[in-house]
Amino acid sequence: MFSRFEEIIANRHEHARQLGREKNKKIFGYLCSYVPEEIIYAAGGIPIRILTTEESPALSETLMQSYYCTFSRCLLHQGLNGDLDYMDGLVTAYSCATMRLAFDNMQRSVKFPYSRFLYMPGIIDTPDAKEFYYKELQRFLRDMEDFFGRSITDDDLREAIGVYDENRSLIKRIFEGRKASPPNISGREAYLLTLSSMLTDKADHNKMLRELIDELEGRKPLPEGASRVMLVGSPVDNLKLLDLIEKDIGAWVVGDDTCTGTRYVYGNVAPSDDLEDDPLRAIVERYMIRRAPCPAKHSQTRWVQCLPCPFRDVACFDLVPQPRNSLDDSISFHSPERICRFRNALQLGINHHVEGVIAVQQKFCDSHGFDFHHVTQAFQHVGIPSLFLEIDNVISVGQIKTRIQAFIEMLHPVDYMIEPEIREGIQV
Amino acid sequence: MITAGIDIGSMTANVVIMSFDNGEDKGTIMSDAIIPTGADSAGTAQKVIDKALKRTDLEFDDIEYIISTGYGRVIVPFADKNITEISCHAKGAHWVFSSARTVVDMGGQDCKVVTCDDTGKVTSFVMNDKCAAGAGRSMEVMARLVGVPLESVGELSHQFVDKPADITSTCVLFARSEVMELLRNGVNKKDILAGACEALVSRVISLMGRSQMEKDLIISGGIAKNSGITKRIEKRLNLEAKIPPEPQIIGALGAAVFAKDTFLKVKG
Amino acid sequence: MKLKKNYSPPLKCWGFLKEVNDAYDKRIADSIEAGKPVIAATAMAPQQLINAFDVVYIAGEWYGSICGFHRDNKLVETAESCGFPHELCSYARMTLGSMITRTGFLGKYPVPTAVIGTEGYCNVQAKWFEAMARYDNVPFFVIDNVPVQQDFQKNWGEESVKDTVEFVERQIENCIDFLEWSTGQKLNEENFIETTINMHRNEDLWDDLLALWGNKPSPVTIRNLFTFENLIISLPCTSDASRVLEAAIEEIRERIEKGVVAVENEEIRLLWQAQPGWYLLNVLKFFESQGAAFVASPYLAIWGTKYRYDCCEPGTPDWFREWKDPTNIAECVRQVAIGSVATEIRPRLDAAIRVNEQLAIDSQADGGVWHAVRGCKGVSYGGLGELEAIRNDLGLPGFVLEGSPSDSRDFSEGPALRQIKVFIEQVKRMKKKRKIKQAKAAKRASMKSD
Repeated sequence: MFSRFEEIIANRHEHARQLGREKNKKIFGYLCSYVPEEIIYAAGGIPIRILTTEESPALSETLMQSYYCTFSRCLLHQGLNGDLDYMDGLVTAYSCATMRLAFDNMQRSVKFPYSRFLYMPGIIDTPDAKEFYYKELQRFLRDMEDFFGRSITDDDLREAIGVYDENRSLIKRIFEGRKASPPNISGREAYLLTLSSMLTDKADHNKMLRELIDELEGRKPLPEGASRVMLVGSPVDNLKLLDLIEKDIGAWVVGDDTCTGTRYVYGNVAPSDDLEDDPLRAIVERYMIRRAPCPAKHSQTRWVQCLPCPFRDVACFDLVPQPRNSLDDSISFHSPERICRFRNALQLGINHHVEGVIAVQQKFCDSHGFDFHHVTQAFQHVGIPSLFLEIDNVISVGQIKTRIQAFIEMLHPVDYMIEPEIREGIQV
Repeated sequence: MITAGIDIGSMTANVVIMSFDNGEDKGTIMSDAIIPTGADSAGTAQKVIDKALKRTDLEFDDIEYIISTGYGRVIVPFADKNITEISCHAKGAHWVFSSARTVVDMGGQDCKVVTCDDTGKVTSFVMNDKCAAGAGRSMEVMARLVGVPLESVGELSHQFVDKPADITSTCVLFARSEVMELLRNGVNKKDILAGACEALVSRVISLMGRSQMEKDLIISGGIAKNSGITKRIEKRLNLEAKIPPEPQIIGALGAAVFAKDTFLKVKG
Repeated sequence: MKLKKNYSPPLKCWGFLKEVNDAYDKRIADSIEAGKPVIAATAMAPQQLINAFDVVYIAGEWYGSICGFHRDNKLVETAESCGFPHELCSYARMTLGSMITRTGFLGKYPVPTAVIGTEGYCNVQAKWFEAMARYDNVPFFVIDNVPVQQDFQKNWGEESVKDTVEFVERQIENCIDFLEWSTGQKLNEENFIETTINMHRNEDLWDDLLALWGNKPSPVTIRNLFTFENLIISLPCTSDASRVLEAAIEEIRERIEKGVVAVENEEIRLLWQAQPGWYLLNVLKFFESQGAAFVASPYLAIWGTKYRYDCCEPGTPDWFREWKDPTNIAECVRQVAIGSVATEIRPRLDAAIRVNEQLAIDSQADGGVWHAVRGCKGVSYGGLGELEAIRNDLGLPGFVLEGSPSDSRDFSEGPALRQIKVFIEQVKRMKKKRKIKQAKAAKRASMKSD
């Protein structure tokens, strides 16, 4: 059922290369989920995200010091290694200094026919910031028109938005089933969907998703897992981590707050008042306000709106430790205009009946590293314990397995211990 | 019922065989055995359990349930289940001292601090298994460098002549070169050992700082026999630490107790 | 390491500097006690604006470096034990540790009235202060400097910079509202004009100081410059700082005239990149003991304007580069915004490489040392690329020294000193070779003309 999604991820460069050839379209690589892919798609290109492989980023060592995260150095390594030769363009949006360095180095050392760094502001919710980014994207649009040698109309944008929104909606629809006990798909399968979406033409992916939705109807329910956990943190793209948690230890990953997972599909462009007159503005709105923010982005206006809140920006409700089962499924939070990162993660955790949070941090990741303390506190306030897990592009099985297993044992003392048959039965 | 716990660590493997009259019975230790792990973990597992059985008049088949723990827990072919050493150390320490709430275990190549509640259930844990500097291995390296047997490190470290040498490197490899330089400059061996102990204790303390520490504090693992470490931990925390009579078997002990609980649940 | 005493006599203006620094420290202590609003902010925040209010400004970088100088490692250990990983910026961990334990060299670390971070130069400066604000649950404001690639040659280059400057201006105006609300004070126009003009003057004086430092032979050591740096980070908007800098510049000019040199045997001249390890400044002295003088630093040059404007993109428009004394708040805001945006040049790879090369040429350097400051993404941005460029384009050797700005646990003295010795020998050898080559070439040229 999921093998066609697996194939895309396993042979991503070959797949993208063929895609460009078959459809006679230009392939644009991008580094960060903040890139407004719809614009590239509307121009006639196919945006493909560059993700890590297990290869050691040896070629990046002369250009990026060892204390820049392995994630970014792997991306640079692929560029220097010639793995991205088939790509016609390289784009990224500003999110953190490390990714920026990886991009700058790629731009200098690897000759892409087109490369562009988008100045996305770090402030994402003031009218000035939105206006600034709107002008920046207008310039990008003009660049795309120059590069592709055609004009990009509002209709083109609307069409691209339609395809992308559908992709997000289809994945979200499948993800709804993860709230159930047991979930309808495993965490690994969920990541297969989001990762493969980043690595192929969205229109094709939509077709695959619609087929999958039909196939899932008749699927046998998954076995009960040892626990229900959620991943929160840095980009996770090594599926071995999910294998470890789900196959080896037997806990289901029923949700996540990572940019390679749920955050990628959170928030659509439509419906929007701007869609009719100015679809570019609707795109700005989605990428700045509607999508779940990365910790690298900030609010400038929080100080006024959130002043009455006793736990400003950690959770937007009155924080008295509450037993988990007193909170109901469809909890609605006070909502400022911007989606608050913690609110989003907490909402997902509660709605998906998560028992433990695994806070994943790519070693050396600053944005998530500074947040970890408050992520733990936020979840503690709703009675969900967290485990801090440092990861790299290669999963060091022994150390990580001990920590996760000990965490699950902590969540479920003897109960966890007695289900060896069930763990063996998990065939995903 | 007879149960067994087997702890395959990086340096040593040990087994505890316990007997329980019934579910509520605290149980008694029938025998235990420790052997070096060596390269063949699976073979070692068989050897060590045979060694423990020889000290009783039991046969292997008399054991109703076996739980394995430790670094090599997945390779024990005859274990019914495996549980991490984190849960097992909490359980084992609690079995010895029912007042145990914080357990510091320092093995060959890792160090962990586990807090538990009054039933021995884990409430939090932190581990440092990425670096030998905070583990027993570094003590071995120091003892060898300075040229004294490992068992005497503790006592000698308390007899420092001038003051504990200042060993600043966090990495045991760099610390090694630092110590060689100190020896060349004629610094007294006891001062160096004192410094090495201080450095190791600092790392443990900073690891402990990350968990909510409560007394009673238990120190287990091979390092618990090193008074140079245990006394310094007590001094730094201003807390008395309780040391089990056989600190190295705590993990296997906890596993044997878990084996009883699990067996009863499985039986129905 | 055992080192000889300083070769050159101490500067006379040290007394003056100490007076000014002590007065500053006392002002801070008194103000905290008097209950003045405390603003914890990054040193890259618009200092002109914050200092125009009657507040206690605790600059995070200044604070973190002094904690490092005191080797206050308990603070970083506390921060780590609260869940802030070891790999984060050492200044951040020091400040957070101070905040959590409420101790530090200032005595009790006060609960800030407000916290201001910046985004753009280094996103950590936003996250760090965000973590502080969340921890103490106080209002927080971020100014986004937007790391604009100032490609004035591209067709949208100037437009993009103009939009950025306007965006930053709007944010600074918001910041004025924020500060007025959080401190309860009204922004005084005269104060703002004064701080803005003072800062610009100090930036120019700083450039002069650096230029004198780069004289051949060098009249002052890099350690002297780091002592002066404290002034420009904590007191850049004061006329006190100007007076100290003017006195220092005059005295150093005299030294040059009299032929006073800082390093006894200045055999080689080196570039130093990034902060020093504040906990062991003697490492710099060690270089001097081996005949190597540091004569320029791209990191120190950030506080001036010469290597911001002069070295920046070809085609830089005048409105971006020119200075006019402001006469009202709006003009102040504009100058501050332009200053903030221009500083972004450094973290851009091409610009950083250009600045490095220009500095190496201007100061007649024979090599460079890149201090790989663990956890500091902003200052080490592109360091390895700069090293490679200097090696390939100018034929000068470079050396990477692993360390940390204020966490002494990340530095291993023994191996580092050994590596430094080897590097210095290498630079001396290469310099000799270059000289022989140049002499031969000159001889050939003169023979040809005969």
